[in-house]
Amino acid sequence: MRRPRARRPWGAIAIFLGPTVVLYAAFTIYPVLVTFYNSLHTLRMDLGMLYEYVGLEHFREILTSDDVFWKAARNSLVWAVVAPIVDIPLALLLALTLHARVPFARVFRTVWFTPVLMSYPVVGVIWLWVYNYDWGIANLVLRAVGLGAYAQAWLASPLTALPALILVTTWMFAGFNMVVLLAAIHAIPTDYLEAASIDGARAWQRTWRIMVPLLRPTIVNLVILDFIGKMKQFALVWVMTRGGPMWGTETVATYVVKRAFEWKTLDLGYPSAIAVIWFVIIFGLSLGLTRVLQRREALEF
Amino acid sequence: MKRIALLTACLWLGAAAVAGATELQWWSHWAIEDNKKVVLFEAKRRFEAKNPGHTVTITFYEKKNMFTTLRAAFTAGSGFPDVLYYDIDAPEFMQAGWMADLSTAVRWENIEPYGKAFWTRPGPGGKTGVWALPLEAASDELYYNRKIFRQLGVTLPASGALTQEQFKDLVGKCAKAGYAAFATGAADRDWAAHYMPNAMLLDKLGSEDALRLFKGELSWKDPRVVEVFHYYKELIDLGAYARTLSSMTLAEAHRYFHTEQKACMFPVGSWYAGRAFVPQDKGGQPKDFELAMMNFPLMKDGKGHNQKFLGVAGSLGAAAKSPNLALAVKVVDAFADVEIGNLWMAKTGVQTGIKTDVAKIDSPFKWYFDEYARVNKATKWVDLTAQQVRLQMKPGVWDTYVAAVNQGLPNKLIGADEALAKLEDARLKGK
Repeated sequence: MRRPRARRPWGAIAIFLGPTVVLYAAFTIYPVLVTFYNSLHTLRMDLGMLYEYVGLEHFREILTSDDVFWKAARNSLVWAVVAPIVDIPLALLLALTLHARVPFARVFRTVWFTPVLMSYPVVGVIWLWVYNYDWGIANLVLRAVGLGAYAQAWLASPLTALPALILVTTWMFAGFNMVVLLAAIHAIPTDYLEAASIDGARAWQRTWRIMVPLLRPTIVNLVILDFIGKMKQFALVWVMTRGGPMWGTETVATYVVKRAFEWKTLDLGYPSAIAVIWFVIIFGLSLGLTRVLQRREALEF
Repeated sequence: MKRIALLTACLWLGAAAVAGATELQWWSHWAIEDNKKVVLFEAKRRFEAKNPGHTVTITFYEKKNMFTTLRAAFTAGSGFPDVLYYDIDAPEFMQAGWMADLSTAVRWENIEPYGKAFWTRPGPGGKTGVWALPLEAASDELYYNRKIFRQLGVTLPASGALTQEQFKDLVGKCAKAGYAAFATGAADRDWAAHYMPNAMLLDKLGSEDALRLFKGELSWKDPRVVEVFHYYKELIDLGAYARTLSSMTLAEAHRYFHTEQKACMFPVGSWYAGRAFVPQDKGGQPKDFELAMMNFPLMKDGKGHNQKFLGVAGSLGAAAKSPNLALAVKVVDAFADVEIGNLWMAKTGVQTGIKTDVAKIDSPFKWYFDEYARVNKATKWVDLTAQQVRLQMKPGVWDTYVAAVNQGLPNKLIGADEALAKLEDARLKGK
């Protein structure tokens, strides 16, 4: 005899899920759909704000003849690849330093974490001061130690502007990555480390051969988050360089905003197409990165 | 009983007045320009006196942020003000139908004809209208520090214009003495470093061909254009611009010129006066600063000698979809008054598109008006300014012009030929 199926509490489900679903649909699903729709259309202001269907024309133009898009894509990719390589080892080093209970560890933790609490515009303004040619701390230090010849307008050359911005995000997020890694380190059972010590493993061996492998899932997640975050970089660039000089710090996000609002055409078709292309690229790369970095056999403790 | 009736009547009348009262919102640029604020508040006062019960609240922004917010508000269809500062940095507002047509709503007889003509443009669907009232007019000028010139032993001819070679010599002298030739800050303005090349192109090509060049009808490889760019590159290589060019904002450039006195000259719009003629603690120039004016260099075989760019700048408009449009337009109309024009000139020292009665202008800046008149005695005005060049160019060409001429060339990141190649490439793409 079939057991009568338990009635689902649809009322409660609707009450609890409803608002979230509505908000998600309104602020995520709908804008995404509109972006896809816009990417196939163009706004004709000359015809009285008429949307004209252009098919894949925007995509063809972006991929075949838009030099600025490719510059922006290259910059974004460089940022997204370089940042995790610099950020995560640095954060790991800071986390291990704190884990080793160095003197003033609490102070260091606060100091290193503070930049995470600041907004991009604030950070941008602070670092504009740091990089100022005349009185910025970067050049003042160089001059003070006799390296005045290396003092330069850091944000005025495409060679130095992008690295200068990457350094800012490293400074900004080292604390966040550090805290996450520190939490993961604390979660490692001490038995493993004690057993290794008894077996004669030195400190660096315990770190490198036991802690780091056990931290791998956390590191992979941080790498992916860092990668995705840098692929979407906008606010810092906007505040500090607006993509200049000579598109040297142009990212795809700043280029989208420029095409949408600075080109004075109000046409969201072309920038939407850029956004769609970039969404596909980020999605694909993130998926690939996850597959490559994540081990099939999970290390458990 | 009578008292109660009177009180009731008063309350009823008061309530009726309050019910019909409107608080208009007005967003304005010029957050740091107190002299201009005086004029704006006077117009507001006059509007409120003429329209009892209705009030106006002015919110001041920096322009760039204001236009970004406005664009978002207009697109969303809510949250925009009734009255707004407007200029040609946001031309799409007219075409999108966001600006009210002021053709019949303003006393145009009190506005200079060139000002009205400037704002008479195609709007939504190509329908021509008049979209703003020109408060401010400005020409592209070359200011200099008289004290530094004296130190360097530089004297100018009566015309105020040096030849190409003389000007190069001047730039070299400035650089040798440790000054930047030009106090230009391009950090927050796309066109800050355009003044010199624009003026030299105008002088070399004449207005007709200069406009053709900007419109994309003349090649950037034209030998005359190439000559101007090569000459300009020579000036840059001599040290024309400060190394802080790309991190210096417009406001900082003003200070760099008149307070720090680190530059010989300042190529900028004549709205310089609006920022400089305020107390020093508000960003104005020091009282003992020796401001003077000269003309841009005379290019060899130039067809545009004595020509200079002049155009309408800061203006005022009303939001087409304002629920209080009739009143908003009256606020704009409050400026269409010769007395307001006189007040503007007297307080700011900046030209205006409002008609003025010179005899009635009592201003501490008379010396400046004389200096301006002297240097522009033989000037033939061309209707365009550095800020408005973008209107002539296709967006892609403008983007390249900003990257190459506002950033690349003056920062010595690229040479003249590379800049020209990029511009020609953008022109041929036709975007």
